[in-house]
Parts: sequence; C-alpha cells; structure tokens
Amino acid sequence: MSFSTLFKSILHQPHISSKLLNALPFIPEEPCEAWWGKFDLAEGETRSWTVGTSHLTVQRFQYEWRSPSQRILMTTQAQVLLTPHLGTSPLAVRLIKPLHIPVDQPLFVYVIAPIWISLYTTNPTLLIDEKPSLPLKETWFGDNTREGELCYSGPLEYGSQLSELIYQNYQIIIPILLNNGSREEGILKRLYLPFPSLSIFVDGHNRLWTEQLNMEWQGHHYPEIHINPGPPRSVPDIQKLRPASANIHPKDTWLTACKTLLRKAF
Amino acid sequence: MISFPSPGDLIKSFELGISLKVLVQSVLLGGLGYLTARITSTLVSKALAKHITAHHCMVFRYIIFWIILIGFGFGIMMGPLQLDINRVGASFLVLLVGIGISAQSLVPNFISGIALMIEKPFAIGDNIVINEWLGEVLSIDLLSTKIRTRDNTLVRVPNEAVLKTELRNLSHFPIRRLDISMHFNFKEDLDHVKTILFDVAQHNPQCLDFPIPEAIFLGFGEYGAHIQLSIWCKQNIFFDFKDEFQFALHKALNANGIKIATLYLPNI
Repeated sequence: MSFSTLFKSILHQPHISSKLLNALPFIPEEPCEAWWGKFDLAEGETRSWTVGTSHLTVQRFQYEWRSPSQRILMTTQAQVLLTPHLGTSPLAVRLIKPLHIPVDQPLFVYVIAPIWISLYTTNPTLLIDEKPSLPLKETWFGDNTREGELCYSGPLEYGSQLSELIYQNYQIIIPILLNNGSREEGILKRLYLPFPSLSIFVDGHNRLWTEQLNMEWQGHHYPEIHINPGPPRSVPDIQKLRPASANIHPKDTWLTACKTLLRKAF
Repeated sequence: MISFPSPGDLIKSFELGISLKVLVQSVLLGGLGYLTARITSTLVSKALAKHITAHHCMVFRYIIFWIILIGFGFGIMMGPLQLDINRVGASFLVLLVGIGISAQSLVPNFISGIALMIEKPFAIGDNIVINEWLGEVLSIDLLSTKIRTRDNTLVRVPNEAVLKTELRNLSHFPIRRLDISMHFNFKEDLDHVKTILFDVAQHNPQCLDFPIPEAIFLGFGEYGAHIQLSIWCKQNIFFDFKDEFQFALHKALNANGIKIATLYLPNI
C-alpha cells in the first residue's frame, strides 16, 4: 500500500490520529464573547454593533427598517438577527512568508481569517446590512489574467499550533491539512479559501470554525481542495451555526479546480 | 418547364380571382400568421435566453418570425387565393432577384452579420471601440450593429464595416489594467514617489491586490523621470475607477509636496 493510499484511508477514518496530524486545538481559558444572535428593538429605537473595525447600525420604525446603506419598507417585527457570514466570494491571500510543503509529509495548519457580519430582519428574513469585520480588498486568483476568479483579500494569520495565534471574536479558524504527494517540494505563495462553500461552526468557547480543508498536490501545478463534511473532528463541543451559502452538489465537494498556487505556477 | 408570368398576367390573375370573401379570409389568415409568428418567436427566444447569447437569441427570433410569416403567406396563396404553385414559386424567385439587385449593399452586411454571429468578437452589453466610437453594444442585428456612446448617442455601424475594421473589446476579460504615465522632476526622491503610488493603490478598495501593482521606470524623459504605474481593476468599473484613482493620486502627491511634470493617460 502506497503512502498516499494509506493517507487517504486515514483521512476517512472517524478519528484521525492525533500523532500524525496534530494535538487537540488550543483551548483558551476564557471564552470569547458571542456577538451574534437575535436582538430586540422597540419602535423608534436605534441599535449599533461593532465587530472588528466594522459598525452596523439599524433603526426600527413601525413600517421601516433604516440603516446607513438602505431603507426597507415593511411592517417591522421586534427582532433582528445578527450573524457571522463568510461572504459571497472566496478569500485569496498572498502569504508574506511562503509556506514550504515537503514531499509526503502531511502538515496541519490553522488559518485565522476575518469574517463577515450580516444583519437580517426576522419574519420575513431580509438582509439589512452586511460588512466584513476588517477592510478587505478585491483580488484576482487565476492562472493568468484571462481565466480566474475575483476573490477577496485581507489580513490572515496561520500557524501549525493554534496556541501561537491570537484569535479575535471577529475571526474564523480554518483547519487545513496540507499534503504534497508529488516528487518536488511545494511552496505555497497564495492561499485560496472557498468561503461561500464553507459552513460556520462554534465551539464551547465561542470560537468560530469552518470544516476542515484537505489540500493535496499530486504533481500538478495546482492542488486539489477537499472539504471534509461536518465540523472539525478534533474540536470538542462544537455545533453548526450557519450552513454554507453556496449550494454544493455532492460531486462538487471535491473541489478539483485550481485553488492554490505553487511557486512553479508563476 | 416553368413559364415566368409577366407583371400584367399577375395583375390580371389577381383581378379575376379575388372575391370579397377570399380577401377577408386572406387578411384574417395573414393577421393570424403575424400573431403566430410574433408569439412563437418571442416564446422560443425567451426559452432559449438562458442557454444562448442575447445576440443568437435575437437572430433566432428573427428567423423563426420570418419562416412562420412566409409559411402563412404561401398558405394564403395556395389556399384562399388558389394560385398556381409554379407561378407563385416563379414570382417569388423574381421577387428575390429583384430585391437582391436593388439592395446589393445589404447582402455583404447580411453575410457579415452571420459571420459576426459565428465569430462572436463581442456580445450585447460589451463596451467596444470601433473606428472613433467607444460605447456599449445595444444590438447586433443582421445588417448593422448599434452602439450607445458614453454621451448617450446611438451609432449604427454596418456589419460589413464591423467585420473589416479593427475592433477593441473592452469587456472581453473580467479584469483590466490601468496604466498611468507620469514625469517627475529628477530632483524628486523616486523611492518616496514609489511608496506614495503604492500606498494610494493599497488604500483603494477597488484596486486589485493581485495582479500586483507595478511602478516601472520607463526612462529619462524630456520633463523628468518617466514612471508608469500599472494597476488592475474589474473591467466593469474601469471608467469610474480611473477617475477616482487619479483624483486620489493627485491628492496624495500634492499632500507630499511632489510635483508632476506631466500626467497623462493613454487612449482607452
């Protein structure tokens, strides 16, 4: 049995060997503050939330919701829903320090990225406002300037140990398993995260997580990104907070398109 | 052998054969044919709209409309009017030849329209530059292409001219590069200038993070050091972005006391 076959079989086991991948994620002593949820507003009341560097404000009238970006005319209900969101486009970030991926040596990396904040009316659910928690820029991710995808780009941290990273409550943790099945060392210069295809989970300490991503090279220019369905297995006391915004067909869960660039692709 | 009727014979046959009842039947059938052609072509084009381009959709609509209408026309001639098929066919051929001779200039345009449909160098809604015209493509008809210029005027370009002329499609790729050429006095600290240029690009949310903005030293120009800033944005916001970015750039350079010897943009 080749190592890659063995590795894939390990991946499909209900419990991944912690020796092979990593120890359990760092559990902070103090839980983070949960800023999401349903909030009551009386008629005429104005309410604001600050998450990261973004501010969301809404004012309720009898027949109108008013925010700085728009006005929604409807018979208003008392509650609004504030929720984390992963945006409508993937996140593609240039790594300041490239990540070296050795051959046939799986690595586990935690990536911490900013999240979006959405504010909805209830009954019916209508979007009042939506913002990224930190300023994001747009970027192009593709082989060339003809074919590719428009993505967001923003501040991002990564490390092999979650305890090394500083987590803020406006961020989300993306566990990534990197494996280089090719014969050459891979160097990751840009990281692609398929945000609209990922769900949001929350652990017992109010930290936000996505599904685990498996990135694998097989000697091609681009790795394949696989989304491991369900919450990260090694995180205790975790539950789903919001499903993926993009509809993923079972066949598409194996995102075989180009997702991360290796140095040789440039 | 088919004998071609003379115009006099045609008029005579119509005079003798048409009663009021037949005339009413023919008009009603003609109306029904028009309605059927209109409804069918619209329904088919709507059904196809999600699967083919707007241009192809429009051509299909025309073709379906005219096939049905001509079919009804033949039906009227063969039915209520009870005309001889040979004579009708021959008359139709004569009519076609007549139209062809009198409208020779239309034929190359028609053929060019078909060629455009196959080649697809642009689509409806694209911004193109053709001859001196820059504008949004409103329609690609069988004979001409219509463009709405940025000052909201309509330009009709014959399809033959579209096919023969060099054309620039500004909307073909999803992103576009904006090149801004500037001359700075030789006494300026060019490293500082570069820092300011990149800073403006970094702080503009519409300036793409990748492809990476570049500042290229093009050479020693007449007015000073010739530097080109190349930045990228989404093609659909190009013109707005260009305006906004230049204002921001001018403001940032002024704020840092850097004088531009000249500032110009290439023709878009």
